Amino acid sequence: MGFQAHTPADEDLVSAAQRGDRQAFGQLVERYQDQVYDLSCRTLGDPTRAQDVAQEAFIRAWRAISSFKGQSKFSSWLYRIAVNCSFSELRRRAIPADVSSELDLERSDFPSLASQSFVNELEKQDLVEKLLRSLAPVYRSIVVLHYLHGLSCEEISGITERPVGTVKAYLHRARARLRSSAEDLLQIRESA
Amino acid sequence: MNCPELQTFEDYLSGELTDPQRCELEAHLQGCQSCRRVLAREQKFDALLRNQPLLKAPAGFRERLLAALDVRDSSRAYPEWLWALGLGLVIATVGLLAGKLGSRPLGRILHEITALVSQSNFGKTAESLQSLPGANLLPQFPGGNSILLINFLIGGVILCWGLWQMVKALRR
Repeated sequence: MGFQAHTPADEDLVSAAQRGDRQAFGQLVERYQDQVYDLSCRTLGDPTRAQDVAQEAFIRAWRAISSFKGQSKFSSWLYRIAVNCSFSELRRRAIPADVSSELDLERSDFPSLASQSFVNELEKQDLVEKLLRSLAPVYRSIVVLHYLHGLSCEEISGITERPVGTVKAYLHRARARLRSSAEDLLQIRESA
Repeated sequence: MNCPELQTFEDYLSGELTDPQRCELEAHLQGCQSCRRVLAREQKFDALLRNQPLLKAPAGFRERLLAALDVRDSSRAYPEWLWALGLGLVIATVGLLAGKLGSRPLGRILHEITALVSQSNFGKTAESLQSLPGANLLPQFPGGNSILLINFLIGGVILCWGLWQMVKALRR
């Protein structure tokens, strides 16, 4: 029988952090830093600012951790802080959260796509990145949470404090926009 | 079942349909080639979005964060409730002292109240309060004007809030 490392549950780490255990909070940071950074970065579209925003989200979480009562998952609570920090940053920079930017995407960006499918995964990632940037930040954050982070509409509803129906409608609209922008390049029409 | 709307396919792929809705759609797909093609297209698009790897936090993110927590915590070495207690005391004291030194229209009103209290069942308590050190300040308070009274009250509220925060902090 091999040795199996004990991985503490979020609840245990949160309880320890609530008692002031900085190490336990450090473990939570380790566990969620990529999710928080990814969400901030894709919502803001600016890696440098995203790092500061992700850091601010964790600092706010540390300060407020004694008020976390466990009514939702810790990750959902943390996501809510990260979403709020990202939108605060957008407001600070006077960027409207609900206005889409024009998609500056040409076939020439992806010459290999004109006649065939993607050459490699990196090209796909680059394209998805550009497609996401064409969405308004509020749609972008919901798409990222749902498709890239795998959260359900109900979880996103709790995080963004919008009704489940609104989240679904946003996802549908965002997906329609992404699809219409991408389908030629992605060759995902029925004929493909 | 008629051919469903596009959103139904999206909900299906996201696992957001109820069991009866899912069964109904799957039964429809058995006999509808057009919907199977739509589903295949949506599955492809879904996979493209879902298979994106998460962006990694920059190297050393955790260490920089914990260092930033140290800096911020050291600049907040005293808890909020202690600041509130101190601030409340200062404001209330300023209000009290300024009231003693000022003119006394409101002070007279308080004199009347004190006199009424001293004749009531609480008289003994009022008398015993007057024997306390510094009680000579009380009958003349606030003596100044309503601004000073408000000053004293604000100090009192902040003081109470500080006490409440202190109790909460000690109970944790």
